Amino acid sequence: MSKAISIISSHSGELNQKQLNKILFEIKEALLNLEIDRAVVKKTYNIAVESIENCLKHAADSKIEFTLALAGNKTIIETKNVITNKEVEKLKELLEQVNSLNQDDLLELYVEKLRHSIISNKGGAGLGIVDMAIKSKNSLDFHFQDSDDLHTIFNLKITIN
Amino acid sequence: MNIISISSTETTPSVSLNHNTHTLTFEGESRPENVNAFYTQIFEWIEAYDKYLYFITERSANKIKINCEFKLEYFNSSSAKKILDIITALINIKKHNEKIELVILWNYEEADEDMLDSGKEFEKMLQYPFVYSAL
Repeated sequence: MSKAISIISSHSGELNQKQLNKILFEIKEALLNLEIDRAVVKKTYNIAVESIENCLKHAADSKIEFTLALAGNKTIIETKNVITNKEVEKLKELLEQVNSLNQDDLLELYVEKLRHSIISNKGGAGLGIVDMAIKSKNSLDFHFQDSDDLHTIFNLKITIN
Repeated sequence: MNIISISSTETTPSVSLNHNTHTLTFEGESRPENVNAFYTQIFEWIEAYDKYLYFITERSANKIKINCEFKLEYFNSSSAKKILDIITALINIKKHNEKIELVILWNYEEADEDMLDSGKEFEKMLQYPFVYSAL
């Protein structure tokens, strides 16, 4: 039988910077009170910030769904946001690429993306995704679901142990 | 030029830039809502510092040691670019002035292997040795 899952933090709906800060503060406090490895605490916080920021950056509206759960000594972060259909292919490609790489290759991809984003002076396309894959050391579990003619719901689940 | 001292907030690190002691320190979390707005003041200071260093090293034979210290708990990916830019700017100052020594001190919490790895990646990208310290 799988271990019981308890929700540490969740949010559904619009999210502004002030609310984000409040959620992250609560997450930090809650994580520090859990009896889990300090490295998992750090990783979970880092990935929580990156995943929510990623949603806000790419969401077609400012609504996001976020859940942080504890399952035994693992934490699970799940996000859901609406993106435009034209973003799906590129994102899917990146996620598949990231899941196919080992840690060394992921680090190389991170460096390449970081370098490129410095040169182009644009937001690093996919840098956050690569960063989360490096930190979680697990495959990123994702799926896309049709929303309407123009939009798709992007669901991302990351396990940290 | 001025000494800059910025207190930390929930989203920005504390920053201390001092041309008299030749120290730059960054401590806390970096995930500013507007990353360019926050870091512009730092790049402006480094530009002025570069000129100041040129001025004082022209007039003295003494070497100057710059200590740039990072004690970060978390930084997001857009801050990663700014951190690299800061260190790159300092390396360039050192490259063009043989009287300058530069120490990049990268502190990390012992359990935070990702923070140590980030430092190692930056070091590799910049091809400049960092000094590491576990807290």
